[in-house]
Amino acid sequence: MAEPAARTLWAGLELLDRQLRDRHRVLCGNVDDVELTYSEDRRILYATAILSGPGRLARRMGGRRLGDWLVAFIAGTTNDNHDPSRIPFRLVQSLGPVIDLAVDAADLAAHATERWVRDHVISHIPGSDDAAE
Amino acid sequence: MKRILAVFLGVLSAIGGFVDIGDLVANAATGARFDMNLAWAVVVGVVGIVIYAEMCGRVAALSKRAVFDLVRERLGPRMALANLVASFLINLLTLAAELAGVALALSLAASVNYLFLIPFAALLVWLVIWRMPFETMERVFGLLGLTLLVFAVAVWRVGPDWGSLVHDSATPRIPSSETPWTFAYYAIALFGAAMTPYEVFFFSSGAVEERWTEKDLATNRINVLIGFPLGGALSLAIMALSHLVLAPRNIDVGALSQVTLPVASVLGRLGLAAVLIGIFAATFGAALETSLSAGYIIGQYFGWPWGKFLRPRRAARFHVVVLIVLVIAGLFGITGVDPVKVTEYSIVLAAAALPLTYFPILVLANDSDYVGEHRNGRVMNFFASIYLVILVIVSLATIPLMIITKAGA
Amino acid sequence: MLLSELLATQVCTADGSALGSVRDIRLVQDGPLDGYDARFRVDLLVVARRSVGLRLGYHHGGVRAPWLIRTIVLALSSEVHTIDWDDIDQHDVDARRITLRPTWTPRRP
Repeated sequence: MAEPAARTLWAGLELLDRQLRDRHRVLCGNVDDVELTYSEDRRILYATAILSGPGRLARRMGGRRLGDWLVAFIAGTTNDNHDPSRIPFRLVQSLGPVIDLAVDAADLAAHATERWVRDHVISHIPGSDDAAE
Repeated sequence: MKRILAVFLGVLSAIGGFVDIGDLVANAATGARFDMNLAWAVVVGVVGIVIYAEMCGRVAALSKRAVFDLVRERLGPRMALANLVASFLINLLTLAAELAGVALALSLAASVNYLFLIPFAALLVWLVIWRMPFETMERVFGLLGLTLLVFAVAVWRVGPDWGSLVHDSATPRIPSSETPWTFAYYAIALFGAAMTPYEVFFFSSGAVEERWTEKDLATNRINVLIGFPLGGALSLAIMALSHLVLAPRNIDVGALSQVTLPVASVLGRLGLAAVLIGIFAATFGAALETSLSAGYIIGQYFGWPWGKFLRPRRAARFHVVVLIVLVIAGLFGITGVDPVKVTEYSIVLAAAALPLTYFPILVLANDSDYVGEHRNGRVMNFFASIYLVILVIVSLATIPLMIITKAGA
Repeated sequence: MLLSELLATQVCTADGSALGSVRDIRLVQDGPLDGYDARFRVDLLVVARRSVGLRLGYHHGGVRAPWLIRTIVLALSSEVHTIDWDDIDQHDVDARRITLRPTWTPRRP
């Protein structure tokens, strides 16, 4: 079989567990899983979204109920109906050692606990906004 | 010129930062019990850490990612989680030992019970992490740790028969008062003290914190090839002094004061002051590194923003982990558990966990996706593979030996 | 469907012999446009009964050294099959089972 001319990617080797970065190059989680969707005629399987956030990794490692609960919990904390642990492939800007996304970290499920800890713990300690370097 | 100064300072910090409470206790204790017959274990350990620190630094400089970051990618989340849990727990134990070391050094100077000083030590460590820039932190405590050279000065002052010291080190034998099991157990302890895993996590994360690039590869090699062996030589000086001063008097090392005793007896008050400053710096520096390592490995596993180079508000979970780990380690220390025993357990368990940490590094250093054209050469791979085999053997032998020797009694 | 579920799927030939489970999948970016880029479609499966260290890169990732690790990893892994997506006859998502067409034969390297 001839090698395809289009770009190829091994999902297990090059996608799963890769570091994600938002459009400001802020680290925002890992690729915990990938959503695959069949075409309408069920002949072709497409990779449609990257899944990242609390619960996604748990589900992948066997804790299905805990995982699903966590995903729903975080999704419930957002204002609209979308699932912040789901990042459609069209929002992926570049694939490489680190995967760059065209979104802000704040929009992702993986950021939810960061925000909580920041607001409830770190902000209360003086000097939390200073560049410690 | 400025570059040379920077390299020079780097090497000095590496020497001063090499020794921590594990090295202090292990070398002093074995010097007293086994004379110089376990010096070879330190040498083997130093060569091992030189090899792996070079690979670690190279991977971090070229891929701009720290080791634990890459462990999940390459080993998968399950294996990486097992690695994370083991490393984290050992880290916690080591941190408790280092905090106790800081408290003990302060208590020997201030004549206050060290238990009261543990919370103070933990708070101080946290404050330095919160406020002091990374490079400053490394430099200050690394250079201050150089006062431990007082051990070498003390050895020279004793004026030993250098020929027989070297000869004893080169021809190890099991002393009649010991068994092959205790001999092996203490060899593992020394090995674990020299090749501590937290050092690897910290080293690679630090390289990312300091934004190393390909240009820093040479500096990394110099630091590692000169700094670490000299740090190892310092460890051997601690062992030698113990052998020269404590062994003839049949004094065993069961407390930190017995580590400082030989220096005080040879060099008097000034020597004691120097060694206390040195121990304070070494254990404080190690406490900084172990608490940061806890934050690094958890943050890197979950993909959180991490690092001292970020404002705390931008790496909230990372800083909270560091804080929590200091609190837990401090609480553990306050329970009055014997700090020397905790230290011994931490280095021996660290030795058992070594393959988990070093195996991924060896693979990564051979993967061009991460190191580009700077893959390991044949010679490096040969020695690094041999070490991996040694580490696996050590790892398998540790728990049985611990049981047989009742933890080195 | 999740990738993690696909990676736990058993693959067998038309006559029922088990080849192993899906260990990795290759995506090719030649689907219809979705936003600015083409969609990623699954075109190859890597299947094996037992695979140790598949993610280390010694099988299909291009890592060759060190010799010691490579030898051990390859020795501990069973035969690895690379299967075209077109050779799949049925995919029972709930039962986590893929059956290949009768026309499939193992590729000789």
